[in-house]
Amino acid sequence: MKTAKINKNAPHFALILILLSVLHFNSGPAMASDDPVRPSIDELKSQISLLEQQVADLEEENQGIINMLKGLDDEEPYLVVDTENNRLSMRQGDHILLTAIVGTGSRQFLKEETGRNWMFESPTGSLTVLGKQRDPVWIRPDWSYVEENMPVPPENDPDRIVRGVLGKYALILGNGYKIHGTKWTKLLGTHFTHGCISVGDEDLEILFNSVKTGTKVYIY
Amino acid sequence: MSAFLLSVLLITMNSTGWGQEDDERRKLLDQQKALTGKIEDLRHEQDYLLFLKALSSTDSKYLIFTISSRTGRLKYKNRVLKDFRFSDSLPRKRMERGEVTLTKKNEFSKSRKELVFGKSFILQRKGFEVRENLTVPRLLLSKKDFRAVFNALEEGSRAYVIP
Repeated sequence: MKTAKINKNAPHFALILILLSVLHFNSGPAMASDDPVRPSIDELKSQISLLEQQVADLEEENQGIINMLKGLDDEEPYLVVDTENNRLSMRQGDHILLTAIVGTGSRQFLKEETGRNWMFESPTGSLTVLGKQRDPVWIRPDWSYVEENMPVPPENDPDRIVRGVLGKYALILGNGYKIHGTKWTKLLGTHFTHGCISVGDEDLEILFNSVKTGTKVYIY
Repeated sequence: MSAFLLSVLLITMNSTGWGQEDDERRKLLDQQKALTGKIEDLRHEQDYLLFLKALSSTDSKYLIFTISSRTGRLKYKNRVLKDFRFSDSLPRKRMERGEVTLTKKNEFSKSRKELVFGKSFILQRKGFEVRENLTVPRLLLSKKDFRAVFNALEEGSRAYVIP
């Protein structure tokens, strides 16, 4: 009889035990956890707050760098010459305004008996348009006489002045180099010049009208 | 009696937010994970921006590779010199993002050349791949693009890979 009475009350005791367990383990959910692996809600919120601050700091820093880089950009067109493929492009930001087939330095070597020598390469690096010319005149350099086995005249000899061989326009790059026209249009796309950049008439006119003194020219 | 105790039990569970606390914890952990991921992305972005900043004041040409679009860019300071496309060949290893350096310009013959960027990858001309050092991924460019890039760079030139 007594046993039966105990068995009848067992479920009630079980439920009481469960109830007490729930009350014990769920008291103060916001208090610090004793389990080092399982941070409390408050600890998590604190960590998240720190992470949010890190995100804000990084975003601010990155924006600062982006603004600095944007400050370097301008909307000025510039020229790029690819001497390997004999291509000239006029670019403005991410846009290509013009692509032209050009002639660049022949990479030939010329040696004079006196010991002087010349390597006919186009200059590379960052250059600047120093001036613009209409109907440019070619002042024959010494090598042009040496190349043809002709005697080299004095520096101010009028024979050195040749008209009509550099096309209608020229962009002066300095050190004797120019971007100019040519009568050898069939050779455009090859390495045939003595260092200057030769451009076809149509493209040259566009370039002349588009660039100004100070325009950057990058040759590689 | 059992029903009464069970009811009390259920009410107690609800009032102590037993289920709710787990939900909140889960949400906070998700938020923490998302923020950690965002911080990593921002740090990668900053690394790239600092690279651009450094190269904007040097007298060197450099490359930017964008893996997702298979495009590359030859630049000088803040100016774009050339855009190009590339394909990749075996082995299709995942390329790591970040800065790389051109360690070697190899010219085996007039048409067989390569640009070696350490152990990261090798740039070659399509159709004229040099089949040595096959553990390193290859990026293949068209003839014109490869010639231009090969001509433009020198050993020590820097590049950046973005995903």
